[in-house]
Amino acid sequence: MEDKILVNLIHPTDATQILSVKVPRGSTTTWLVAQMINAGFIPPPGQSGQYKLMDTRSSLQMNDGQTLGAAGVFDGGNIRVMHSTSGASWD
Amino acid sequence: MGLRAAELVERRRFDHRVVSGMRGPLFDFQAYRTSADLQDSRDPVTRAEDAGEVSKYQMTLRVPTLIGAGEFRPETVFGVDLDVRDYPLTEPLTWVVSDPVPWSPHFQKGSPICIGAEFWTARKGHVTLGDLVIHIARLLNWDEKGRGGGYVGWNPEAIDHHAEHYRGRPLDPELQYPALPTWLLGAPAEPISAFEIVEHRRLDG
Repeated sequence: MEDKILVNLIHPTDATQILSVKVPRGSTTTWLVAQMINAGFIPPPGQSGQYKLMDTRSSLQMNDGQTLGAAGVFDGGNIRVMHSTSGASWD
Repeated sequence: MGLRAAELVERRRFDHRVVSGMRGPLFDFQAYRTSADLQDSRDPVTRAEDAGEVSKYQMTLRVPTLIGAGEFRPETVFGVDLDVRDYPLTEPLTWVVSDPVPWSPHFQKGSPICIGAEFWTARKGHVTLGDLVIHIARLLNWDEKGRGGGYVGWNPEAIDHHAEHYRGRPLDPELQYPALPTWLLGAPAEPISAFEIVEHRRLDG
């Protein structure tokens, strides 16, 4: 079984809410978002919405489909969940 | 005889539920209603209650595969379209999105993935979209059962290379493939999820 790391997921609209989870280092952003929705931590993004993840240590936004390992997220790292209503680029 | 419209909606909902249960480090997907949405990565279907409208998928398999002699690519992106006549008796349309395409007898730029009539058509609809994901993962890992010697497909050169360097073995014999969800097999859910919630807390001001 692949090694898991602990990450703290920060709610997109209420930063006082933190979901701490253990997930495989190879988990992708897309999969993490789906799991957060399934767990009821965040609502579905809606048809024109989209979630993005940012590693607070580096302040870098992770790409869609990027793995935690590839993004350099450490064990115990904090990830901010951000919501876009435009569906447009976050650049 | 093909499915009626209501049955087709249920079949699409079923397929979506199966592949949703297979998401993980090796496999992920985006689901769409139309080819235009898929083309533009627009309006992906994210709610299970809308799954009956899904007929197009963009899927990613993170199975390292050959793209040339001794050259590997860590992941392959491909499209799947269930909107074909007489689905699921007819195999879904597939195509490779990522470039370069896998160096293999079953993949060719601009062509459907050669999944084999014995895999889909011969099963007369008793095969799921999740089975297709696992089958393609096996093709990428050169872990194929059953087409036998003499098969050359689209790339005899790749077959020769594989025979010489791997002697018929998978590229990664230890690879753990994405698995069909346990509910599909009638088994209880796994006790430990890959997404293991440790704590949900609220910080006090």
